[in-house]
Amino acid sequence: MRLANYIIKRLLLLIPVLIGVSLIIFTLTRITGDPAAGYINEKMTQSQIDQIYEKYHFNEPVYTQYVYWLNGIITLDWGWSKTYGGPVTDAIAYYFPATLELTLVSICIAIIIGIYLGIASAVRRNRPFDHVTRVVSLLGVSLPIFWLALILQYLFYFHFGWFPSSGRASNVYYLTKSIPDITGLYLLDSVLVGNFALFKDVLWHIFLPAVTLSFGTIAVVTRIMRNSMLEVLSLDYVKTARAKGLSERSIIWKHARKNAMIPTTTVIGLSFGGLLGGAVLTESIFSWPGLGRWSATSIKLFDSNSVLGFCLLVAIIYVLVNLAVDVLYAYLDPRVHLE
Amino acid sequence: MEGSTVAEPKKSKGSMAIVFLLVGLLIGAAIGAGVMMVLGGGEEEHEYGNYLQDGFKLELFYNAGNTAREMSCQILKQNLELLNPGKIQITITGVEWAQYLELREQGAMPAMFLGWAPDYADPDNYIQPFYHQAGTYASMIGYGNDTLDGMIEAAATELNATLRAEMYKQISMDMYEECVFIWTAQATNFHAERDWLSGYYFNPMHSGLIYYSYDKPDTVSGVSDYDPDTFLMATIEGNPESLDPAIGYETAGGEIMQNVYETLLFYNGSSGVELVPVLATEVPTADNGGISNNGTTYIYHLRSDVKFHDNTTMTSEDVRYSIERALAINDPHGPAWMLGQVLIEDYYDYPAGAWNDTQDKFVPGVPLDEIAKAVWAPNATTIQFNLTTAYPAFIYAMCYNVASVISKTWVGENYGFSVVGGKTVNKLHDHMCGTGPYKFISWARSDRITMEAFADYHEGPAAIKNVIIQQVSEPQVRIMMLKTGEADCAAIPRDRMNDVRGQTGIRISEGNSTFNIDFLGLNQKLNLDALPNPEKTNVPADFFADRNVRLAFAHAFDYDKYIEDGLMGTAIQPNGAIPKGMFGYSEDVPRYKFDMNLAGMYLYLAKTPVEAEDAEASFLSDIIARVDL
Repeated sequence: MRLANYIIKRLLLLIPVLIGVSLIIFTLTRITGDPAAGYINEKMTQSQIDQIYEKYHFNEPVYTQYVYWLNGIITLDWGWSKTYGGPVTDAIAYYFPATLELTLVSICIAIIIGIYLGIASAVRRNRPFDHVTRVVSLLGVSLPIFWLALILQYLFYFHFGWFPSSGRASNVYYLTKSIPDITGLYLLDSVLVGNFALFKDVLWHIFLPAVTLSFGTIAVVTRIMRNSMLEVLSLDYVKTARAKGLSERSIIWKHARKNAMIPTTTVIGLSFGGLLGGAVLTESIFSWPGLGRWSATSIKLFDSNSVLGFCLLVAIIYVLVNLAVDVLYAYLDPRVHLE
Repeated sequence: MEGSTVAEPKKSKGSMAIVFLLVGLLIGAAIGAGVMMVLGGGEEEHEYGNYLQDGFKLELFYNAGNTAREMSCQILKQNLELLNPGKIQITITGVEWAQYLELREQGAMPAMFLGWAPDYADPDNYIQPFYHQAGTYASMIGYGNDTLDGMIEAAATELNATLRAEMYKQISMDMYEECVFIWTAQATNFHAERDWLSGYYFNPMHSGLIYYSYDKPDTVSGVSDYDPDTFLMATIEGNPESLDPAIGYETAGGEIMQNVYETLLFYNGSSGVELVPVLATEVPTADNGGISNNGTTYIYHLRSDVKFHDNTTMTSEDVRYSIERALAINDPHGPAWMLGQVLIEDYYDYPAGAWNDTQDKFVPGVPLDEIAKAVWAPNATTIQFNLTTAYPAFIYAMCYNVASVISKTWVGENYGFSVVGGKTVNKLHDHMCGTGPYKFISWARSDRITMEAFADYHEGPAAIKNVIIQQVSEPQVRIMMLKTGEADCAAIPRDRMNDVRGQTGIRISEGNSTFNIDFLGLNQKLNLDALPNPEKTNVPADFFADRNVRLAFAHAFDYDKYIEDGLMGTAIQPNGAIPKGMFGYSEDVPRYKFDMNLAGMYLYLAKTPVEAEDAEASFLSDIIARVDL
């Protein structure tokens, strides 16, 4: 009951946060240039331009424009995304699953590798494995992601031909219209319809971008996991466990790991929120039709409706992810009380 | 190397003439001043100096990210500032596109670098926007000339082609003298594809490729996953705005429309002048009775064997309906004006069509009775257009996608519009049903568009069964896709041309003139109150109203350097608004030469009001030294 109250309270807090975000973003889009620019081309006559101003209320005071926009947000009319070529809500519904799928796969890779490396290097503290892991972690956070993406693509697509260059699936599935339209998560959808050839193809396509995207998170997770593991391993209850004669494997993987996971969970949660906001560079290099690429193109084209919609979405995602992390925290650590 | 062309200006044969001119001007000015003093006419508080001696401050803008336009600004800055270092100060500012448009709308940009691409292959599509005072750019820079307007209107309606060409030549000659715009570059094409393809040709009026002309061999050695049935085009990022021919007005959607839809006539092969019948049986002319003697009635006879992709047969009612639909929607962003401007009286007074909730139907922008006066179908294979005035360009305007023929039965009620979940939905926005060689299959946004050969195409099915146009953001990835053979063709940016030139298996086609023109517009009515950085500009509002100033800028621009360095050699210098290759173009119209002597002379001739004590007569030696006479 306490948990439900907490969640409701946090969700209600979402409203002022979103109003604040919307005010800031709306004001920014209005002071960085004429919002009509995205709708005007170089060939329009003045009367045509006037029609645009009238149609989108750009000729009215900014606060009136904000009210129009806010009213649209509430009624789920988020405006027209010029970049997408359809309503903003449709654009989000289209791009979000692509980003979510990429994020989920890359987070899975990061969790599996990062946690293993973190634990392993903590256990082998100051031994060669630990040093190598440390260097790899350092590389992970310092390598520019676009460079890594291009290198991986050059090696595994262009040089070896092991992986595809770009996109979410092979052309044949687009030509035969055999990609199911259920959740937008191609991996899940292909399983739901039992098309395992498509599942394999999608997995083959997502591998390189997901690995690219996971690299930075692996590094952070490894470092955090290693440090918290070292801290936990020095605690009394671990010593007690050892004194009791428990096997080292059981101590590490069963007793120490869960407690060491608490700070790591926060990092993974925040990374997850960040990645959901769209990985602009990875999505661009692998031509991944996700939120990151859409937002970047929208900013370039000054598609203010899309930019506003995207920012609002990211704000919602962050708040929800933070909430999820807090709830998870309470589950992992009984000492934490949600109030 | 920057500025070397300025440090060593070309020695003009006219140098001596310029010396004489300057000396003559000085003597004349001295005599004039003497006469004025004797006659007691020295009542004026100001004397006039010149921009060369007195200098000026000017801020130039470009849209950030456009390196070619940035370079144009740099060239002008370097060259003009060298004419009088310290006194001539040019500031270059990059602004976001939105702000660029805003400044342009406010008249706050003294000079603006822009580009123009054709809607239809007629000189009126170039001359009118730039030189007629009602034209988009003429009004933007505050230029107007009643005599010229009369010439433009006469040329636009002249039915005799020879006479018409002469009229455009005369307008171009006059405009060369006037120097209202500076024409910096006419782009040439650069096309890279795999050498196993056959059938490519370039036409400046095409949006992208016409896939029907292509073929691929059944087998190719040494390329894994080679697919003879599929053409993969790796293109740049960007979704079509719409796949509806009444609305779409850009090239990404234009490419799809040109392969799925067809117009009555279209450009013949690589020609930007000659038309051939597509859905019509012949090109209407005065001789075959297709065009009335006064040039206001056009009659097209239609083929009777044309099938739509929904397997219905095309009739004149489909053609009539397609035109009616474009004018009923009358999208202000869109291309409907090309038809409306000559088919509908007072066309620009009509609003856009829109869904009306009260009436629960789509209410046309241009009233249906007005449209009915303009287009009607006498019988199943004839369509007639009644123009409000003679307009020889109409036949070319009818080749634009806006005049694509769509299946009336497939579109359904309300021009394809309906309300779903409280929102107005246009079926044709992302669905297509035309008569073209390819059927539209799917549009995955920001990813790819797929098309499939139409088996019942009236000229026989296309050789390549599938076409996939995939958006690949990174040029490097497109290059790799082309090299591996995954892509049959790829869009290669200018600065990456050398990555594909000379590569095994890749064929290059380049150097053909497009109809895309880059230009510098000189604002003759600068809105000084709206300047974003007033401290960086001290010229009067009518600075560019002085022809000498405009000519000085025209001669200070190093065209060769811009084309070679800024555009990697993929352009030629235009000689006016009408691009090379288009009807009305004349090689006799001269081009502005990069000549710092002339630039200096014209700046000297350009007068500026200054305080009397600032107007000194001892500057001749400075000028002569500076302009390297």
